[in-house]
Amino acid sequence: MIKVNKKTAHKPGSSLAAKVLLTALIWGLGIVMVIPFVWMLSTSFKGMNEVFTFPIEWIPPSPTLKGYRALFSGSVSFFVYFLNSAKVAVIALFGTFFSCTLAGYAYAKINFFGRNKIFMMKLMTTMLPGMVTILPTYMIYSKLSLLNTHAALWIGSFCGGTFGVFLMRQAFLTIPDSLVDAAKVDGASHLRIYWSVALPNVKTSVSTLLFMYFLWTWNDYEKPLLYLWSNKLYTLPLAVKQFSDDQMQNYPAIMAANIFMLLPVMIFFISCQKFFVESLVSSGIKG
Amino acid sequence: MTGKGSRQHLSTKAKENLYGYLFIAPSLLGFLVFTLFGVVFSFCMAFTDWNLMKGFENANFVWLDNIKSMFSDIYLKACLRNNALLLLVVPVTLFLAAILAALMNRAIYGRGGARAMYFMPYVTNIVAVATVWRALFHKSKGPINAILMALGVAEANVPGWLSSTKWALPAVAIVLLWKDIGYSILMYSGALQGISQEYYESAEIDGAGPVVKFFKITLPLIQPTTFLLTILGIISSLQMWSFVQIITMGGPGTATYTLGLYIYRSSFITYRTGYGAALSWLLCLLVMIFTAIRWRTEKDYTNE
Repeated sequence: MIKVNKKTAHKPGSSLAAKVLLTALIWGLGIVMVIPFVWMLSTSFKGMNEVFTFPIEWIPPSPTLKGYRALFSGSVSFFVYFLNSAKVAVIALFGTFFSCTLAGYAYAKINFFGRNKIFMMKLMTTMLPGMVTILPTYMIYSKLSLLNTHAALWIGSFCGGTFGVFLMRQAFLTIPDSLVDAAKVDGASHLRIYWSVALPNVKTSVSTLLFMYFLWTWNDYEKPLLYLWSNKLYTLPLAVKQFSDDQMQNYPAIMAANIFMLLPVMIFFISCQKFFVESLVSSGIKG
Repeated sequence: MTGKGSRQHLSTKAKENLYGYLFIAPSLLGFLVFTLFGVVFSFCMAFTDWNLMKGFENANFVWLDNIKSMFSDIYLKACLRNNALLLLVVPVTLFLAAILAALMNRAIYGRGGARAMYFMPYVTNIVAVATVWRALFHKSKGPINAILMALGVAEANVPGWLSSTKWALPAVAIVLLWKDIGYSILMYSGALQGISQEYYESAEIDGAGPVVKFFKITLPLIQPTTFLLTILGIISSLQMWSFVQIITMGGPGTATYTLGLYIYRSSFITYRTGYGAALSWLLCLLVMIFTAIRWRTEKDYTNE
């Protein structure tokens, strides 16, 4: 009863004012967070001597596409880099999907010998810094003649990343055992249960899995830096880094390259942000 | 049909084992080849004078020489100092993220959109982050210093940011904070949704203000998330290398050199590969020590 009284005691006027004030504060700080993106976008349409005018001109006084044209006038066009990035991302997502969902299903729903020990071992590797295995991985790729090929960028995705396997295991655990057992009684194999019973029930987690790995693959700078040296094989992040080193002070062109690289992620993110932000929030604890 | 018939001869247990190992085969293979073999290989190489260009067949065991040279290595000293300072970004990020998540959890307009704004830097590529902030931090022409000067800071006194040995590390810290805070806000938002409103209502009856409620109710109840985010933050902060490689190359001088960047450069650029392997084990040791410390303090906390 006291609780109810307390609630009704709030004056609607004051709580509305508080809500407006709080909204203004949160959105104000949010705008500060996205200002670098606005600056990037606006600069990409500017001429070279308009970049640093102050006060900042958010809308370019004489918009030009010079910056964007520079992306396609080099010895290798940015379309090539874009296609490289897209190719690697598609293959990596394919590998991630199968390796992570299969392993996740096994750790959650198949009772095989040593299951929990193997899973714990897999989880413990998150503590191991990537720098420790960077050299041996390089040596293995070199012995397999994978250096300076795109395979060096995607082959790891077929080995099931720890985050993805963990995410899918947690998802499959939410499916009741009775559902799996009923399918078994009907004579279905695990492969069949995995594909037609379990997977359709964890669509949300699969989307989260694919979104996160798309993000990591598309944004990956370290693997291309380590394993590629032919310019025409570069994916976008390394290409943009090299482009920005070449262009030095040509900020409109550098920002145009950034926009070109970020656009797919941003379109994807903004159009699905409600879904992804909600699914990340509700998943609570994620690595 | 025949396949199905023959499979029925297998006992249920054998079938479970067969399918289990079949399903985890790719991830198990990856673990054996890249992780297990990798760890052993890298550990052995830490005791050699391996030069990547000469191939590891020509490497000689120098035993503890790599570890001995660490003690007189001025670059390593600079890296450790910078890494220690960058670790401070982790608690600051988490504290600010907790406050923002708590504020967002109250009634506001357009919560989803606001969350997306804070999350945007996190989904952005580090090359874009580095190049845009390098322009924003430009010493003489950049918008940040232009704003500082408009606010009355004399031109001689504005920070040199990425081009000054004094300000480069704080500048990198600011960018890292900006980039990573959105992720922590999201994780905290998830944790806050699980807190019953009744705690706050009974605290209000006792006359608790918003600040007291935040420190006495919110922070303790989201402690498990804080614990997880601290561990993840420590691990990624200690390992960070490609971001500084892009934004400053570790400079000016050694002002933003990190252990991760030093390992990369030793292994692949200056070809002191054996020494790089030894340094990577130092990094591993540091990660373990800091995680263990955090684990210990967490235990004390929950015992209270």
